[in-house]
Amino acid sequence: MQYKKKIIENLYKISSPERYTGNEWNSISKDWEPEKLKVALAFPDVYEIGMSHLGLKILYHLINREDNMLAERVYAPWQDMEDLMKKEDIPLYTLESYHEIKDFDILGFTLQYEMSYTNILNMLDLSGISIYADKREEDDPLIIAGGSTVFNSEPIAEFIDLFFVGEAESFIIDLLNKYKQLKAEGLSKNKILNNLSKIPGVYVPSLYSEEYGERGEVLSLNSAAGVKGKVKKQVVQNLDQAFYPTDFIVPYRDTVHERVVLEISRGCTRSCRFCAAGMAYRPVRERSVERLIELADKALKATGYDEISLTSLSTIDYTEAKQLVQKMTERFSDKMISVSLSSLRVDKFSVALAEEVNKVRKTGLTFAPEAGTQRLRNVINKNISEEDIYSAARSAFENGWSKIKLYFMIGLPTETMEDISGIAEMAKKIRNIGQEVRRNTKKRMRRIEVSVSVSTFVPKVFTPFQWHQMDDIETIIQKHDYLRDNIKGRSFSFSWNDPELSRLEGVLARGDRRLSAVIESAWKKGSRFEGWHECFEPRIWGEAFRENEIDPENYLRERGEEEIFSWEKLDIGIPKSFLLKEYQNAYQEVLIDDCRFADCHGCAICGNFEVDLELVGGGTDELQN
Amino acid sequence: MNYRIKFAKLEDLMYISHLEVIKTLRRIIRRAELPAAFSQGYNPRINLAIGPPLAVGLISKGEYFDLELTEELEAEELLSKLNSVSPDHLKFLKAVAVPDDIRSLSSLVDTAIYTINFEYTEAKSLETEKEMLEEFMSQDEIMIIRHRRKKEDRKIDLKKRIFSAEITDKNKWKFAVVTGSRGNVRPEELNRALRDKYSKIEEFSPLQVVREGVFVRDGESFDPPYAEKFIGS
Repeated sequence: MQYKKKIIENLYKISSPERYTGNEWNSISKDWEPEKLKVALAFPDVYEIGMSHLGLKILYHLINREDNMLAERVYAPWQDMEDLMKKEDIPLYTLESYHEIKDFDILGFTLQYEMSYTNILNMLDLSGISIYADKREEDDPLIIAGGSTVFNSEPIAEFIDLFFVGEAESFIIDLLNKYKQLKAEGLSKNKILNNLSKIPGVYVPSLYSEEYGERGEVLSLNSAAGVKGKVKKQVVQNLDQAFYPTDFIVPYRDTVHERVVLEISRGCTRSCRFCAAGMAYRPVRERSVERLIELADKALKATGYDEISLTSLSTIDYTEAKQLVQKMTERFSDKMISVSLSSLRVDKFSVALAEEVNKVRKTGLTFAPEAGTQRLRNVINKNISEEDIYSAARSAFENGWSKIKLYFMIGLPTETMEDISGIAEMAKKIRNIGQEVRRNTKKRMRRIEVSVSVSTFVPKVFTPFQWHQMDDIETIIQKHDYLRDNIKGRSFSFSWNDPELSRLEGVLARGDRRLSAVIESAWKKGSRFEGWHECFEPRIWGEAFRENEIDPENYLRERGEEEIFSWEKLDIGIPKSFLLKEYQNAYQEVLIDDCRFADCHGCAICGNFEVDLELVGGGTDELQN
Repeated sequence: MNYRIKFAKLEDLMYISHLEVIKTLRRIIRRAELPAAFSQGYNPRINLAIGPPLAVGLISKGEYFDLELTEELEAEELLSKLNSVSPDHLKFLKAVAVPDDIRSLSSLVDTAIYTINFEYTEAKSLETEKEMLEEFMSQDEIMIIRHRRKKEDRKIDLKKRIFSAEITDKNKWKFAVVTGSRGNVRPEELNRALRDKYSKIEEFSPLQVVREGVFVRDGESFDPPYAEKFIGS
């Protein structure tokens, strides 16, 4: 059913009604013909967050290109909207046609962070769909999910019918067509799922099970008869020629990343040992400068945005970064279009590039040294030296920046209080450099500001640190206290994450299926939007764990080398032996280089996927010099 | 070259705020690839000045903004370019070339006209409605409490703020009220004042209100801000 009138008549009662009305420029409203396959694409957070997500934009336009399909969007309603929907009997609906979710064949969630899991349950419930896969009706939509936390989706495995593992644009259309065909043949949902599970990259959790030991460890992973034991992630080959939308939806409401977003490359081989994306999105593939300029032209014309953002896991590592930035600024500066860069590394070259794009407006520059001492940076394989950091900072100040933001992690393997005091030392030293530059310059310069932001390290699956024990609450608080006491004064600001929230993230990040019941309990007790600081209630989660007799510590503990992990039903293309070797390298403070510019370290991704790195520039490290 | 442009913001966009409308206009102008003039300074923006704000949740058939272009364009061409890259419910209705020194919309526009579609708990004849309105408007003062965000509530007199009122059809009440720098009346406040007096009038949703447009008051008449007398010769 469609609920447009009822919705419009009631929206004035809540805050930010424009989150729920759609009708944006470039949104696609296709006719609802019976023969079309109807897909609702869901982002389990509010509109302004969800609208920034590139993966969903790609899928939305990709699916809508197909004549026999349509895709519409839905986001998580904020609490006031949820109350209104319940009061007025309005089920969850999509922004294009205002059809309720039950009218769709498929509801697809994108998984971006663990803290949105209760929102998934809430969205299912508001749609009038049972949260547990095995309790759903035959004619309920198929609930599918994919995205970056799919690599450990076990905590929500009981809620989802099917996961796709890897880059969905490589096989989503085939998957949907296959579903359509099987459905038309009149097969039952179970038969369809069984059939779809044969497609590479498709993980149907109900066809797998696991056994647990007394300490909560996984004893074995099992798959049903005839079902593949491991699901291999899927990747896009030839990214340069792969589909990329340019007619992005233009929101009315302020959203995160309101600009043309160009993904210049995918994957990163820097091999930072804490980084989940760095492992999961290999191999590195780059788009060509020509293609990016063409995409920028089209997207600017289609949207009317005045900013282009060049994004990737590490923008500076794009092998033609300098040329790309120069060409972009040359081409668009007349039209008053600015270019911005994401994820800058800490070196002089980054500052030079930032200078290139920010000739006039100099707001702030962000560096991520990640750790406070050279020793610890070696442990995590963050391949930058003390000297790099200070010379980058100096060069930023000399080029007119007065605000520098520094990102660090606490709770990394082998960390001691010495590493923590290193964070404060570095912040002070950078402040001093800034003040010295400011004293000696003839130009007018604002007061130097250094903001230090620390997040608590959460061990992630399929990384060399997946074995590592997470810091306990007291230790985290002690480190925060130290930093708060030592990063004081007018030139500093200090921010940190809620330790309880980080610990919960830690539980879910390496969790297994027993957590489904915990997530359900927390949701029933009213937990929503945990990612929003003001919405997170540790008390609720404490109760949820206790009621289900689950000890969160079991998920945060150090894992044994021989242990089986619940996420090993998936294969990201990098062998466990490589990750373990890297974990050992960490303790020996052995650095490895980026294989784009140096020797292969044997992560085996290229061989496993029969691909090469797709680099547009030469494979040398000339950029770093 | 300066243009004064009239537009309508209709139902699908009724919940879009004033600032969001401005942002949307800038993007439409970019999509239309118009030769827009930019402001000077560190953060150049399209030179655009909009009339008094329209409250979130209301539709309007006559809002205005002024736009500066670096080249001259035919009004018709300007309108068709804008409409071709605009959402269905944001419609550009009229463009008039105006001199550089024309009085700004914010200093000129002082009146908003609303048509409100009232509903009653029991049916009223047109005659009764007319009597109600006459009685309502003949009060010496019409006091209501204005709720202000992050500020204390305040008592205001609507009487001084209503320029004229009439009933155009059954259930359709039309009010010309002050807007802009000289004060403001919200349709919801009119509804409240009427409900205070006549309990049979029901609370309304924004869908029952139409802003017919904004105008410049001249004695008994209300002129559009592009009228000949403002453009001069």
